[in-house]
Amino acid sequence: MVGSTTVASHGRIQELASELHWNEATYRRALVLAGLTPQAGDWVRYVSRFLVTTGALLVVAGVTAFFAWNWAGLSHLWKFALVQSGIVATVLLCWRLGIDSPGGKASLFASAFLVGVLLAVFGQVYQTGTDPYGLFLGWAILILPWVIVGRQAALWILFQALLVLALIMYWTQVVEPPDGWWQLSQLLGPLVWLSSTLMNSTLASLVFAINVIALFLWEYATGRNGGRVEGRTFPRIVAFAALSNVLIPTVILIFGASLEAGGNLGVISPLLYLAFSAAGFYYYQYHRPDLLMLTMCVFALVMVITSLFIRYLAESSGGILLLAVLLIGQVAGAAYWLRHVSRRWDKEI
Amino acid sequence: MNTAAPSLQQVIAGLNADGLLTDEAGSQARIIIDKIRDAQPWYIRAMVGCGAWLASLLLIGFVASIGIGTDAGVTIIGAVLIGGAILARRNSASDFIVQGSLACSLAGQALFAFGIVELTDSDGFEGILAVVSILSSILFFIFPDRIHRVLCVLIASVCLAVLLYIWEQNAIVPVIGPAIAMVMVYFYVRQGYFMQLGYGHLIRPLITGLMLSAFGFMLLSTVYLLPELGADFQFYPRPWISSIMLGGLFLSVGAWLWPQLGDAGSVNAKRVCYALTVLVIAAAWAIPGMLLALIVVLLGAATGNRVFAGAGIVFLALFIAAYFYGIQVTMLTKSMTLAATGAAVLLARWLLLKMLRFSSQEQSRHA
Repeated sequence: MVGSTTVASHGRIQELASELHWNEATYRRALVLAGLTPQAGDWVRYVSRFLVTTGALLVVAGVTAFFAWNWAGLSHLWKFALVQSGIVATVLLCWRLGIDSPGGKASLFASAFLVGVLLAVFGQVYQTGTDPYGLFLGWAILILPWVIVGRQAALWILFQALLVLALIMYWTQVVEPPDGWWQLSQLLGPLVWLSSTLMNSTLASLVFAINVIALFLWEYATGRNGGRVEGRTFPRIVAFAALSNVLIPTVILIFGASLEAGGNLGVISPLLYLAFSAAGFYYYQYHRPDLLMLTMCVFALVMVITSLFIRYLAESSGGILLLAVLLIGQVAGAAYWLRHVSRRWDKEI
Repeated sequence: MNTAAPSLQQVIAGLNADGLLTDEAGSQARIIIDKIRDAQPWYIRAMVGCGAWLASLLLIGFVASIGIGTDAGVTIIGAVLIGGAILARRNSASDFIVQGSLACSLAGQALFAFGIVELTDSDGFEGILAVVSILSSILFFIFPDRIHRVLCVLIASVCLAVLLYIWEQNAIVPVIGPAIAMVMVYFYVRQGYFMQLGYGHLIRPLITGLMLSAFGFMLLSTVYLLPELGADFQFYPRPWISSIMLGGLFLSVGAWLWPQLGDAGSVNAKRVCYALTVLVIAAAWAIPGMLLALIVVLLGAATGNRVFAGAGIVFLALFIAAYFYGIQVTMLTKSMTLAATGAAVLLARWLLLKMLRFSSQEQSRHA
């Protein structure tokens, strides 16, 4: 919900002008009053920033393409020098721009990313034979100081993603090397392969545990340590990941159980889903009001209930019609409940 | 840009004070502002949208499952779905109805086009594309929904592109993208005039649809078919035609924006600016999509339209990534093109700022 005043964006002014058939002079004046038509000084600043960013990015892309063209012919020293210079340059840029400025944040993120590139080049040059999980784990450990100092959601998300990848790699290479369709999915690309890891309830539950621990620590630490962890981006993304880790196996289990194709899926996923969902409904309604988190929980519930209905009802034309009506009822009810909760919070404030 | 963000209420008060709005118009504006304020957050609308699409598809599945096997039956079901969707959308603006009617209309169009082609025994795929194009053109005017109108423009553009390739008229393709961009710029610059005439509800989705269509056509320039697969077939012949047309458009957009620089822009600075623009166009000769991105970003920046400026930036990144991964030119050529364009842009910035600073110093000395 927006507050008592509504920010005058370009789209909203267009909406008003369209609805009320404003003349051109009124429309242009409204854009000026909203501060959306740049003045000469604004233009110079904007053009300057845009051109320097675009120009620098194009030159960097050109230089990258040049090294990609010549990569195989470069000596080991050149390869290391290039990546390490990138790390040093981005750290210096972060220091120069300020760690909390947008440019500084982007620079620190770039340096954390380049650490992974450096480890990959190291493995390529010296043929260390290290398993990929070691690379991801090492990468996460090496960037941890920057993650703590950086205080930005993007770095925490990178760190979390590296931990999850390290776990998945360790599981699939050491604990339970998969075969068959899983290996096939690896050929279809990283996203398909990562999604396929959710077909194993044990692994999905471990990934869920990592995400839930991160979410718990973040929510616990929020407001307790002088602003070291702030914002809602990280907890929302991690909560979405955690919910997906148990929701997807649950839905597959609902459909797959009747086909006797449950495979590595177990009852642990639906149980964890129920526990997480119940905790989410309670915590984000009464302790830390967050409508987006509640929307995720309620939408997941709609998906589970609809999956159950599809399994038992969608066998005839009447069943399909009933299913459509039930879905409409659920979504309408969910939207009504969310609006009700939001209004209750407004009153409490 | 101004750092403070004025509210709509302040804008209306300002217009009232300037005498541009009557008290009655001001009251109407406040009612619309209240509606805008009461809108649900995006994530709840997204949830409702997902539910509406799924429910609509289930309803369509139900209609299909009761079994009307004839071509006439399919055509009638398609027409009924489209008609029902229009009726529902005209009578309600709730998120669920908006999304549900969208899904019903799209499914109805597919069924209707299929049924018509089967009834008339015309050439299958081409016939469907032709019917869908005509249908989209009509529905653009009569279906009262912004997203649907954007989709109509996009669908018509996609049908046009596929038909051009089927008819082996791919030589025209490099002209279509820039031509669409020109129409888009014309409507963007003149949108205030069309809003005044009462066409605001049509002009906004038209501009968005044309922008996305132009992006799509320019992305075709990055597609490369292996000679072994396509024989003599050229997917996007002579991309320099697009560069010339978009270069011209870039210059005219620059001319439109120049007065916004106010007194800072002297005649000499203007000449240098044009020369630099030509330099950037020449450097971006092989990557016409970059010129389109620059045009869209400039238009967005000129009017404080963040969505437009953001779309231009996203397209720029997408186009460069697509260009980077294309294999029609060597990595060395890509490297030289990208670095040369970047250097031209940086040189343009340096000279432009120098000229503007010199111009303002001259003015203050004369003052």
